[in-house]
Amino acid sequence: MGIGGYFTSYLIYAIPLWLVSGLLILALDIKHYELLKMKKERNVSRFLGWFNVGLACLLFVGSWILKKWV
Amino acid sequence: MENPRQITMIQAVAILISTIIGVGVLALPLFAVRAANSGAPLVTLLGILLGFVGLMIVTLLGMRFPNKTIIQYSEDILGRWLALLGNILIIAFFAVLTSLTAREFGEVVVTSVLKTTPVEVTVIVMLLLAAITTRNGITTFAYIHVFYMPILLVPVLLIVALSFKNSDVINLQPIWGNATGNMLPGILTIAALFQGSFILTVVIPAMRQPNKAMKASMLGMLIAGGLYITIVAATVSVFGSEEIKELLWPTLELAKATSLPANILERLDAAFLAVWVTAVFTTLFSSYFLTIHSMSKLFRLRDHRMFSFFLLAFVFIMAMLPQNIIQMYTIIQNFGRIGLGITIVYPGLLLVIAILRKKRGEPVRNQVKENAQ
Repeated sequence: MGIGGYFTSYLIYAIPLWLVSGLLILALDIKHYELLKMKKERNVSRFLGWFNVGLACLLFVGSWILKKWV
Repeated sequence: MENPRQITMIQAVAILISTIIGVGVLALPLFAVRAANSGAPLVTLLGILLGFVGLMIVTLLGMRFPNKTIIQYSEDILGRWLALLGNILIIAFFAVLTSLTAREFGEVVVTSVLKTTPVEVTVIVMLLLAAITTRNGITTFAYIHVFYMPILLVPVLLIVALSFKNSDVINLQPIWGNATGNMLPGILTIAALFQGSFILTVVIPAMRQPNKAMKASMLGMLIAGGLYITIVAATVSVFGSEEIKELLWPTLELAKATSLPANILERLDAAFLAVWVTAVFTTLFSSYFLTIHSMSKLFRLRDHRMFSFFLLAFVFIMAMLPQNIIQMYTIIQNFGRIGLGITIVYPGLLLVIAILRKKRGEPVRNQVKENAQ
C-alpha cells in the first residue's frame, strides 16, 4: 500500500483486523445479548460491529483510490 | 444466582503480582542504571515506594467506595462532567499502555526469538489473545491470574537466584550511586512500571471482603517490588553499571549468562523468555480488561464483552505508530511519566476531595461473611 509516510506497512494488517473484529462482534455478541435479553447491550454491539466493518471498507476503498491516483 | 463478589484477598494479591511483573522486567535495570549507576537498586526502591503511594491512594478510595469502580465513584466525587474528563483520560491512557506493552513484546520476540517474523504479526497475536480472554467476567479474570502467578514467580526467582553465582558485590558500590543528579526521572520511569496496579480499582468492587484490600496491596507490592529490586541488584552485581548501559535488555542478558549448577543447563534465556511471554500476557490481559471494563461502566452497560473486539484494531494501530525501538522506548518513558499524573495525582485529588466533601460510598453490598481468610 504505497501511500508513504506513517500508514504504509501496517494498513495491510489493520484493514482485515477491523473487518474481522467487526464481523466477530456481529456474529457472536449480538446473539449472546439476545439470549440474555440485554437490549441496550445488543444495540451497542450492533453499532460497534457495523462501525468496524464500515471503517474497514472505507479504509480499503480509500487506500485503493489513493494508490490509483497518487 | 452467583454472588458477584467472589475474589478473595489472595486472588487480589495474585492479580497485582502478575499484572505488575510484565514487559518492563527486561529493560528495568537499564532505566535504573541510567538514573543512578551503581545506585540502581536504590532508585528501584524509591520508584517502588512512589508506585506504592499511588496504589495506596487507589486502595483507600476503593475501600471508601467498596461497591463502585473509579469510573463510577469519580462521578460521585467530582460531578458528572469533570469526572467524564478524568474517566476518558484513564481509558485512553490504559488503551495506549496496552498498545505500548504489546509493541514492546513484539519487538523483543522479533529480535530474540522469531527473527524473520514481522513485528505486526506478534503484536496482533498477543492482542488477539488478550481480546479473546477479556470476554470473560471478573471472576474468571482472577482465576487466570491466580493460575499463572506461580508459573511466573518460581522460574524468575530461580533464574535470578542462580545468577548470583556470577556476581561481584563491588559492582553494587557505591550504594548511593555516583551523585548523579539524574535520579528523579529514573524514579518516575520505574514508578511507571507499577501503573498496572490500577486494576485494583476494578477488582475491589468484586472482592469478598473489600476491607482486606489494603493488606492485598501491601503484600502484592512487597512481592512484585521485592522481585524487581532483586532483579536489578542481580543484574548490576553481575555486569556492573557501565556494561548495562550498553545492553538494551539486561535481564535477558542476565538469563543468558546464567546456568544451572554443574552446567547441567546453560543459556537459561530460553526458559526465561517462555516465562516472560506469560508475564506479558497477564499484564496485557489486565490493562486491556481495565480499558474495556471501564468503557462499559462509562456507558452504563452491564457487560464489557462487546468492546473486546471493537478496540482491537485501534489498539493495534497505536501499537504500530512508533517507527523503531528507540522511538518506542522514548514514547514509553515519556508516556509512563505522564501516566503517573493519571494514576497517582488524579486519584490523590479524588481522595482529598472525597474527604473534604465527606463523600463515602454505600456499605458493602453482597458481603460474604467469612471467619478466616
